[in-house]
Amino acid sequence: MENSSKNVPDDLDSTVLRHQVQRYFNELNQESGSPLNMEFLSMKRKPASSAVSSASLRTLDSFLPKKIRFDSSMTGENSFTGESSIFPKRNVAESYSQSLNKSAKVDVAAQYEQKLSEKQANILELQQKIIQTEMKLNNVVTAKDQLEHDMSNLKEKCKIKIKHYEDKIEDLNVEIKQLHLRNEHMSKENLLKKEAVEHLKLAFAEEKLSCSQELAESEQKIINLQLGYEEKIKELENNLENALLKASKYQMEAEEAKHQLKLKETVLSPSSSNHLQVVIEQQRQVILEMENALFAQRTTFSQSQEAKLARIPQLEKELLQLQETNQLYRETAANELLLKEKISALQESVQRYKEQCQAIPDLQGEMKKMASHLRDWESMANRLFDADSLSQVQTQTKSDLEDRVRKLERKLGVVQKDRDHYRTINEMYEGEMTRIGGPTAVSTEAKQIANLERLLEEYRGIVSTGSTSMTSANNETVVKLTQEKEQLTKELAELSQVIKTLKIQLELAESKGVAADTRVLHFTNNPLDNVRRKTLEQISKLEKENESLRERVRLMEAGHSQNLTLMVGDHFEQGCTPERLKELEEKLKSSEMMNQRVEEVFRKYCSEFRRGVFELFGYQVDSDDGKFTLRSVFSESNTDSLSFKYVGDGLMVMDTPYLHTLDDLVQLHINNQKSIPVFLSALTIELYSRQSINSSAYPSVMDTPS
Amino acid sequence: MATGSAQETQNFVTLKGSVELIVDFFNYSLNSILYQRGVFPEESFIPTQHYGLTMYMSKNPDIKKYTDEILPHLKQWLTEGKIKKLVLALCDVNSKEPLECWEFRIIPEETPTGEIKQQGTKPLKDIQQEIRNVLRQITACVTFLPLLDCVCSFDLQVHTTNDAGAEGWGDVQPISIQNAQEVQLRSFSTSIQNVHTFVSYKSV
Repeated sequence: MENSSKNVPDDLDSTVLRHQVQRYFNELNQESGSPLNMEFLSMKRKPASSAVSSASLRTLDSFLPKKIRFDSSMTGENSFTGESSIFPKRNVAESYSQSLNKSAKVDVAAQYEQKLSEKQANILELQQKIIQTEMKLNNVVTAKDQLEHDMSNLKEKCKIKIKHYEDKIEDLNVEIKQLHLRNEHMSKENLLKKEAVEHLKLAFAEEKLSCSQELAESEQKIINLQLGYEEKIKELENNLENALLKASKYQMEAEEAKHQLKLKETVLSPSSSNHLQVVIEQQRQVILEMENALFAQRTTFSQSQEAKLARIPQLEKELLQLQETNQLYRETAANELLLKEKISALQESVQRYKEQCQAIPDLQGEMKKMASHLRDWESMANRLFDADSLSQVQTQTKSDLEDRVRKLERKLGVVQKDRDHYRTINEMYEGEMTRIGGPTAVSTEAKQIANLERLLEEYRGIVSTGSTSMTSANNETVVKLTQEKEQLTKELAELSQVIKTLKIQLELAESKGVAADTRVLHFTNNPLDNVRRKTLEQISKLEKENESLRERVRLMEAGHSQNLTLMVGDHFEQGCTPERLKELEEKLKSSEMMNQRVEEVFRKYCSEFRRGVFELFGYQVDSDDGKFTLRSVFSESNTDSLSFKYVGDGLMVMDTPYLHTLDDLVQLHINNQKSIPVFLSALTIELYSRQSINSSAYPSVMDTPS
Repeated sequence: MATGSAQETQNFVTLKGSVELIVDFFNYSLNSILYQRGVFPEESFIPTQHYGLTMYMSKNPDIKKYTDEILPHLKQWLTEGKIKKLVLALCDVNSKEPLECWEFRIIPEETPTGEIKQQGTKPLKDIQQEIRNVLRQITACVTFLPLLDCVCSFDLQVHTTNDAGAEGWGDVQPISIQNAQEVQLRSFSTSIQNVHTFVSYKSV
């Protein structure tokens, strides 16, 4: 492919090359006049490779006389094609001819010949090169063909292989599917077999149960049979005894009959002997028959009994066997119980032994410890009781004490040295002091020392006060700061709460869709409200109509047939509509409630007032339509009452039986003094004095016996 | 409605023209919604041609009177830039419950100074095309909006700035629908103001 694509440019390049060479030679022929070897152009040649052609082009260019290039630059054409190269050649040739024509033609010819030869050489070289390149091209093409061939072969092989592999893959897939199917089958079979096994197990268990049940049943049957046989045996024995008894009875009867016969024979022999004989013979026959019957019975009975008796040993054997088996069972049961008890006992003992075994290592450890202790003690004891050891101990203690003593002595020496040292220093200082100055120096120094000490104390004091003040100041600032901090935290908390509430409000407002700076307007005369209003009006109108119609119907039913509209109007004016009724009822209820309340309050007030009056003035006042009856608290009997009444403007005392008893008081206070309160109070005092045992504070006015 | 054509001679709209366009659009969309949602009987609507579409306008005198009264106010407030939102609420007459809510949010184009633009930069044809699309979409909304099978009426609520007000207008609580589903329809822009259309309905 690549080669084919290259072929086109190769062809082009080769044709171009050919054309260029042709032109070149044509020019040369024209100028030189000698025929050149153009044979190579007529040869058919295969296309050359582009690289070769380009290389040849380049070589052509390079082999062209350098003057041409120079001239091309002169002429201003710098193209790479052969055409342009040829034109400058012409120019060169022309220039050459023109310039050197007159002067040295021979030189020109020689030069031309030289050039020709050179060019011929060049051409030959080029021919060779062309041939070489063509050879190479051929080789390359053949190689290419071969490669193509190989490629195609390889492709085919690959395709075959691919097909082969694909077939293999398909086969394998098929196998896989088959294996899957087999696997599924096997699994299914497995499941089925498992189920069958389980079924068999179940069946086996059931059979086992049934067998055990049958065994139990058979055992029970055996026991029952045993019992049955025993019962039968007893019955048979009874029957036998009965039969024997019967036989004996019959025998006895037979003998008795014989005896009777004999007696009868002896007694009645002479007379009616024939009759008697006949009778006797009859009786004898009867007896014989009876004896035969008896004999037959006995034989049958004995036969049956024999058969039964023959069976008895078998039954006895069976009985023995069954008894043995029963005993075995009982023993085994007993053995089992025994064994179980033994097992439990053994288990308990095993547990105990295990515990003991577990405790063994601990005990061993303790034992070892004890042994070691014991050894120690023994050694100690040995040491103690050994004289040598005692002395050793003593020496040891002594040595220890001596060491200590030495150490202490050393310390003492050291301390003494220090003391001496300090003493000497002290003495030195003292000496210096005395040497340096007299008491003045000492005094100045002492003064300095005293000053310094004072300063020191002052500073100390300042420092302490400063520290205290600092601390106090610090404390104060600290307290202030803490207070400020608390305030600020409170404010912060409040503000944060406010922020929260505001945020919530904002969210609410936003959720409602209205921001704070928005106003929502609507036209008041809008259709929605109008429609609503209209519907409400309609509804109320309809209701009114409804009411009027109802009233009309009621009136009509009641019998009024004229002036219905007027009556309906009246009805409504009266306001007997149910609504009005309801309103009135409600009003009534409320007013009744009010009345009741007022009554209650009045009653309460009245009773309290009367009670107060009674307790303050000592008279129970009852009023009855303007008539007052008074009963004193100190009165001797309940019936004693005074009565007053309004006559005209004033209050008059009325006549009561009790009043007659108080004539003197009445005389004095009412008739003379014309004062009822005084009378009443005098009466109260009088009654009180009468009541009280001690003499009253206010002596009674009247000493009248009551 | 035809006053907007006075501006059509120029290629671009002014603020006044934008306001006219928006109010016209609102009028037609209001009538269209009332027709489509069956708020009023179909016989009370007459088809008219506008925006190249067949728009149904109500011949109910009440509605006409109402629109004639409110539209001038809306124009004035829009020119002043006081309107934030126009809300058309469809409510049940008996239960006073809002069933559907059509919102037209008006957002003015941002200017460096913050004031309303006076001159637009969008050709009229484009604006009208956009309006047409929105109106078509409103008509198409019928497919998914729930049926209003009770007697309904409508109310118009205007969300304005705090300084807006006029005679005959009162404050009212903004309507809110329970369990609302909101659908955003197309928007159109006159290059001076943007109009976004939303519909909220009660989702059952």
